[in-house]
Amino acid sequence: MIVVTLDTGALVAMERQKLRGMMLLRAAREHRAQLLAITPVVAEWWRGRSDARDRIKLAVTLVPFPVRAAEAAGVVLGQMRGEKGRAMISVDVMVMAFAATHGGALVYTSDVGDLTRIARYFPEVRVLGV
Amino acid sequence: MTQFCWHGNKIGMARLKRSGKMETFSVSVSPETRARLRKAADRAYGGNVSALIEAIAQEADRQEALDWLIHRVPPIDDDAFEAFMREMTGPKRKRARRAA
Repeated sequence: MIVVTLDTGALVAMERQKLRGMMLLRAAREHRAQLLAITPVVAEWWRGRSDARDRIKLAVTLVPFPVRAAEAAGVVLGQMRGEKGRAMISVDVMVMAFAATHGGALVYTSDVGDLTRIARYFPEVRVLGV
Repeated sequence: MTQFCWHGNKIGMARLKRSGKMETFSVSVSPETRARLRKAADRAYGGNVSALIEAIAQEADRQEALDWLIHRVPPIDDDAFEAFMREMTGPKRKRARRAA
């Protein structure tokens, strides 16, 4: 089974019934993919309960952010010091660090550009769009 | 660990730790199934069959949620879906080689 790390945009794509978001869900339904999302992503995504959000929360394995990934993210954020909008990309870096250390080295995102930029620090991680 | 758990650490186990009121009930399964349950529990839950059953219930919830989400939209074309899966299983990225 393929392990997939989701960013906020991927969860939103599922919620809004976008085709590729639904394909991720179908892959999970057929036991061909395990969908993971770290809790900081949930904080970006969750804006109160709805029927769809409750179901997505069940469909996706929600993972507290592990220490090893936090250390990797911290090192990269240090290297990115001075880059514009560093605070804005913290969660993106956490997603990439998690994918590199635990999350199957595969990320689905609605923001391929930003995550691909961060991927230079995590060369083993593939970034695909929803 | 089973497919019901995240393999990256023991979160699956932690989540399944007993809390609150528990109920005991009997189930009837074949000897082979009982052996399989025991084996799976030994492998992933320290021999705790109850924890394994909790995980099975959790997976049932997940499947129900996935059904609900998927059935809100028109069926996905099988060819398009298989193309999507090929993309997902595409070649892994390699680390950049260092210059000599």
